[in-house]
Amino acid sequence: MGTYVIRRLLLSIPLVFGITIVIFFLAHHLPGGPLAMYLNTASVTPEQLQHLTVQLGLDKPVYVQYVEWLGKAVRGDFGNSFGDGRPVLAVIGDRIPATLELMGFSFALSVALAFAFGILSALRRDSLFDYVVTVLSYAGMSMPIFWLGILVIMLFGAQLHWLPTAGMATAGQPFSIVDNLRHLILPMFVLAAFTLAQESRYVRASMLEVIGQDYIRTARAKGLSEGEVVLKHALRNALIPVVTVLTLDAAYLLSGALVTETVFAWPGMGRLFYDSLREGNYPVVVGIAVLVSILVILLNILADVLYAVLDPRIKYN
Amino acid sequence: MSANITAKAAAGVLTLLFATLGSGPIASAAAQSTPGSDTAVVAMYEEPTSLNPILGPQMDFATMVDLTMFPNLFGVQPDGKLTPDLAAVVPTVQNGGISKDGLTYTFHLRPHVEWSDGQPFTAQDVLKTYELLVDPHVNALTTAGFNQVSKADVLDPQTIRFTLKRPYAPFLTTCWSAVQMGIIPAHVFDKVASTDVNKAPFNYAPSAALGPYMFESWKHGAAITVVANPHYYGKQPKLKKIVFQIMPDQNTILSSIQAGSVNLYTFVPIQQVSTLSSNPAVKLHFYEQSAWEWGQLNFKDPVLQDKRVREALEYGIDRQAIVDHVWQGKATPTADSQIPMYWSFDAAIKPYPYDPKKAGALLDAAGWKMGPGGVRVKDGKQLVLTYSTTAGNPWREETEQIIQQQLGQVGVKIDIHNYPANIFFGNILFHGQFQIAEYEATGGPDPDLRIYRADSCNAIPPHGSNYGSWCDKRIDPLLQQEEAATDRSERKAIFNKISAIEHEEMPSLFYYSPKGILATSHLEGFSPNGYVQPTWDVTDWFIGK
Repeated sequence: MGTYVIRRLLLSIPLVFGITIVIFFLAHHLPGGPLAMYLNTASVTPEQLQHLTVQLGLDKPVYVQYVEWLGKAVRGDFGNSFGDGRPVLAVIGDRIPATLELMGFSFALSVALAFAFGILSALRRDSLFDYVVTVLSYAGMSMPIFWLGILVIMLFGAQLHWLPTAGMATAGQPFSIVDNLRHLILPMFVLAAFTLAQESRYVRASMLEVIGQDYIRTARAKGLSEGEVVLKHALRNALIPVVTVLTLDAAYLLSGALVTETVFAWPGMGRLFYDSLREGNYPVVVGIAVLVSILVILLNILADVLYAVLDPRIKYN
Repeated sequence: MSANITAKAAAGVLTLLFATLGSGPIASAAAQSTPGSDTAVVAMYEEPTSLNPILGPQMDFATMVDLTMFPNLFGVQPDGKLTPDLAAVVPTVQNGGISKDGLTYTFHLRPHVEWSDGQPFTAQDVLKTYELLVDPHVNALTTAGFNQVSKADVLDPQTIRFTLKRPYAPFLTTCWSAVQMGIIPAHVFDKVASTDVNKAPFNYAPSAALGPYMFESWKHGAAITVVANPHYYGKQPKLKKIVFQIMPDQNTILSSIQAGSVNLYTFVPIQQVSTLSSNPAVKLHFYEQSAWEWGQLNFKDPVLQDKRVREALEYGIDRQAIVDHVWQGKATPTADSQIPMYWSFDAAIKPYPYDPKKAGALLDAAGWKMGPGGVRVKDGKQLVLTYSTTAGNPWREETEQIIQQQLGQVGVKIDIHNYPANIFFGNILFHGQFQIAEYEATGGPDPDLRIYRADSCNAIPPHGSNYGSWCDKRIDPLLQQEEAATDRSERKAIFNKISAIEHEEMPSLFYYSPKGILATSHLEGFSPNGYVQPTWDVTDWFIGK
């Protein structure tokens, strides 16, 4: 297993390298670009645009810019943001905690509820509970995040005054955990809604497939308690396909977080990516894209490892 | 008996979640501003890229924050008049501050002014600000006007003199007023190489300020906080802190101001006005601003080169209908690029009236005869014009539809192709890939800059923002005369001549000047100013009932 993981990691290096090329050239060929923000301003002079092009290194051919970027990136220097000039890694590092908090809680919530709902639905197939969960799941999957977000903000924030409307802390107040968690509740639920709906369907389907198997009947015949039958025998086997979905969802949460972070003014990385794209802030766009790619590759490796842990029949040699 | 354990577990999780949610009302109201609070919250839907007032790009929200920390030599009153701020007097030819030939400007600075770190404010700070703006290594906010300076001399710590290459009347307003930027500290930037200015820590954590407020923190993506500056030369502000909270979605700002957690919401979209006006805690402010909406025409297009076609388009559009339907009456129809709030405005030039018959006659005369399907035809070609603007703007989309329908009635088919803002400005406009392009133009306190950039033959891209490539040989000599004149009434007469040419030649379809819309909740002592950002009178703000 150890060698397998090391081999996978080594194979990822050329992959990451290829990704940087694609991302770098894509980013630099997006329409708009960093100078677009300067153009509808009466006081911007042509010589200013000329100077700026040189300052940002945009006067050089893209492949030269790429080689220069790569030379620094392998040493851990991703360049400086076009905005305030801070190092890209510092700019991104600032936003990671907020995204991790939102994603982490949201992921945990959706997984916990998905298993609870999915297993119960499967065990009580065609019951009222099952129907309700099914309807809610489809509603959750088809509801756009931005719409659901605005809806809950209007209801719980503006109308009922139960929860804050935006941000991850009350403006102008010293930081407190309780205040932070109160701000987390709405975006966490909204971000979890889609993945929860989808994952609970997978858990249900996967469980249904397993509980009809002979070995479940055997387990019951042995006189095991229903809890042991469900959790130890059925669930473990049902987990394998679900794991794939979960790891993919973790990556999805990053993109779903973009919308949630925008609607709830949550200062995370998704919004940083969006703002940087809009501003043509290439160093930050490329930096985030590369980091996220690495994360997705690692999650895929993790999924493969988890298969082997869950199912002893799967071996990597 | 099936699955009791899981059922209980699920029920437990649910109970826990609803308990958390339900605990909300007990601890609520913390987010709401209370009367007498010493903090105001200003919502911003775009995050400034930097807080250094001399670095580009120019962003309204960055200026809004900067204005609390970095005043300029002159303030701008709501009527457009300059008042002394860091300068002790506003120079004129009469008081000897401006030479008779309009070439030298002498600024006497306010004495006994200190930076928030206790260092004295002197002419060196003004000199440094100028030097960095024209330095090719600096991502300057603007070089307009500064590029007319031939020499800057510090005469004594309180006096600086600028000598210009040629007379440039807008020098005071364009370069040294609160409209765009403030003065930065020489004692900080003397230690920074000009090649490092774009990366200086000052850009994201300014260590010295001259305004009523100074920097406290910038939580990136969340909020920028400024606190009262004890070294400020003027009267101390009433509020201890101002938090500029970044909320990228305007619907979220709308809910937040209704919930009372935001005190000031700027650039309110017209479609939110009815919701806001129904909330008794929210006060709406409408004010004249130096901005106007127009449909730029592309003169590289042979169809639009025909003056009769342009005139027909002017007569074929009912501006008042757009103002009434789209803007709920909160806009003023315009006839040229001088808007009513400007001192250079000529009330005698009236917008083209809505006259579809006349529009039809003009098109007939130009050879565009009514063809099948109600679309005019000339030499076998249909009169179809592409109309572009920024995508995702509900009021622009409504405007387009009204124009499409109105021009359709006179036989002009309008094809709508919208683009995201950065593509619209960066590619479509800049490279002249349009026939009619609708967008908003903003001027400064001085009308000169926008006119030059839009009308001069020397400002056709890539040399400026005359995107329509309109070139009328009469304009540039007039602009030169106007810049050389130091007297406002003399300048006004020349601007009026330019307006008359614009009205006659129609380089753009002039639509209207929309009113600025702001919403406040519990914020008192606030008054809007059409020339500068709403933080211009921040010392008077306080939180009321």
